[in-house]
Amino acid sequence: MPDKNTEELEYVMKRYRSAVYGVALANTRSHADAEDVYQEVFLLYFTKDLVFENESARQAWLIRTCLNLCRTLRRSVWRSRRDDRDVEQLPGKAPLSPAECEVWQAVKSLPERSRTAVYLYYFENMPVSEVASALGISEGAVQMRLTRARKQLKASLKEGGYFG
Amino acid sequence: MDRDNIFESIKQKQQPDASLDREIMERTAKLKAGRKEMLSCKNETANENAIHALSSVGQLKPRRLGALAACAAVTVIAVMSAAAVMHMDKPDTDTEGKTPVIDIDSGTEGTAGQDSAEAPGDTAPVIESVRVTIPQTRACMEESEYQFDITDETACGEIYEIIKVIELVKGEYPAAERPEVGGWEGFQLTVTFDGGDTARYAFDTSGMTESLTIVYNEDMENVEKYDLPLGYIRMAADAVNKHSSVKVDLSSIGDADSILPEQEDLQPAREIYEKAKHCTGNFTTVRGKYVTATDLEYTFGGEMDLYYFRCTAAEFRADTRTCETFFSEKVIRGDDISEMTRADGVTSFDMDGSDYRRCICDGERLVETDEQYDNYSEDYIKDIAEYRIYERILPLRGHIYTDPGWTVESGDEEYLGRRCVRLSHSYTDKNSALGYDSEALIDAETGVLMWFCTLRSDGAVVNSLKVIEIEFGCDIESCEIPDLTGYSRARNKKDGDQDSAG
Repeated sequence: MPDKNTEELEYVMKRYRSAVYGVALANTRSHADAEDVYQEVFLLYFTKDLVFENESARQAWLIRTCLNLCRTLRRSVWRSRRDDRDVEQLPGKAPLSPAECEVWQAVKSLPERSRTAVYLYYFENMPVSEVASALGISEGAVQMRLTRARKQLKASLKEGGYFG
Repeated sequence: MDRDNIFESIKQKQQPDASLDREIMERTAKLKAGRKEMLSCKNETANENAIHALSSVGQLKPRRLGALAACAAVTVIAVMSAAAVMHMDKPDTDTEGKTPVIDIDSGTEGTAGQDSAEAPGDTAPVIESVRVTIPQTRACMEESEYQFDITDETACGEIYEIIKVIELVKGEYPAAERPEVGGWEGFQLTVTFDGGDTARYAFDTSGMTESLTIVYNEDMENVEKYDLPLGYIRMAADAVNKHSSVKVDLSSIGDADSILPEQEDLQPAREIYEKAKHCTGNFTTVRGKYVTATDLEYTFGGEMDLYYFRCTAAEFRADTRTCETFFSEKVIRGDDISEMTRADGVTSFDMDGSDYRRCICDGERLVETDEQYDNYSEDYIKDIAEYRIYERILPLRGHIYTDPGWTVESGDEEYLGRRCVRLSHSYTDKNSALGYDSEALIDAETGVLMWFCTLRSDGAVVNSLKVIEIEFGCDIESCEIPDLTGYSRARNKKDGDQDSAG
């Protein structure tokens, strides 16, 4: 594991950029907010003197911090009345196909606790045990969240059978 | 497109900008430079500059500046700037009519965003933060003070909203009209913001909640529905049903559909809410007598949160009908043993030398800590308070009863003298070679979950629960004072306790 220096930060960012950004996006439902959270997570990572036993612990810290920052953002009274129309697309980003849009919309419409579990499990391909560590819940609880989410997603997605 | 491909494709199209990574690297480089300078610096002024540079770099600026945000932020900054120029505090002796006091903290020199090499030591003070004192009003029962960084748009928005809300409270609700319902004092406000959009807020002013509760806006869009008092609603409605002379008026909160998320498993709460909403009058002390009681013992899996804490055993007393809990438990983490005891809806416990005191409610609410960035404490508390109740009992029951994956084994078996049915369930993890097998015993007569265990295919116990003693028809005398904050103040009636609570 690299030392805590620039190389390490680069390594960590490269490895976890997708997961952190994805969790932030799934939770804030806004690219702009996700970018803010994304930056802050890695700055916090750098500014705190953290020691991790293994990569799993590091991953859990990053995701939990990301979720906390998203929660803080959501609590903001200010944000509650903000225009969120930049959610779907930012310039320079490849557009989602209609099918992808439908799936993404369905995932975003899930309750927060299920949404994050679904993102980590289906999009980041994290095993249940790692999702559990990242969310600070048991593996059984992850299964329950996924089961509930699948039920909701199945109902909201007309075709595709992605969550059957 | 198959499932895995579509997820991968969505993920790839939603990657963060590379410029973000560069920006983070630049900021961290500046932080490092600032730290280095601070460590090597003996000159006090230069040291201050270095510290300032660090804090400036560390202060992130939101990347988006939406039209609405810009509008409000400019308004607030303009207000702050005017106050700064005049160096004016506005103390007000009128309790009801006080306006927020804005103190300008001008002690910091330099300009936000400058690095240490550029930070001038002799320029005019640049205002970077303001202190807003919220006087005691009907909306704020205690005087409180907030410090905001005015270089942060979000903070400016907060100040702006606080000021606007206080003005509205003052203007719209003279003391005589303050609604009071069963210990709950609340307002519903309609706020019009710059740009013309409006939002309605429900305020709890009883002091039981720690923040404003935003319920909904006019068009029901773009508003987070914060913690919902479902625990209360359920309990209140239950009390209404049991005691026809007891009434509660929830109408000021709005329609159930407005505040309850569209979620299938909340349907019972929604129905109960609708019933309760149409009752009028005041709550007084309500005596609840429970018809069943269960002592449960939890055994937490050894691998759960391995590097955060290990909770090997906990005990509590639960009412199986309402899922209310009255408990005293020990949490074992390494060699440290912490205890928590619930009393009147407030749980205090000690952890690593820090005292945390938070309201913990009825298994439906989140628990928060001051240290939002401190994952350890937050998750610890969540685990104890929310997860243990919410994630264990309720979903376990719901899961078992609704998940078609559960198989009911033939025959029945006895557990603690009760006739039980055995259920089993298998779960395959698509992302690992591990799978999970769960089994449960459910009391055939009452549906009480008597025993539950999930084993991972490598043999680890990841989830287990067992009833160690059960007694039916046993009253637990308790006192309840329902209130609309969502926090129930309830406790067991123990030796020497008085009936009143809260």
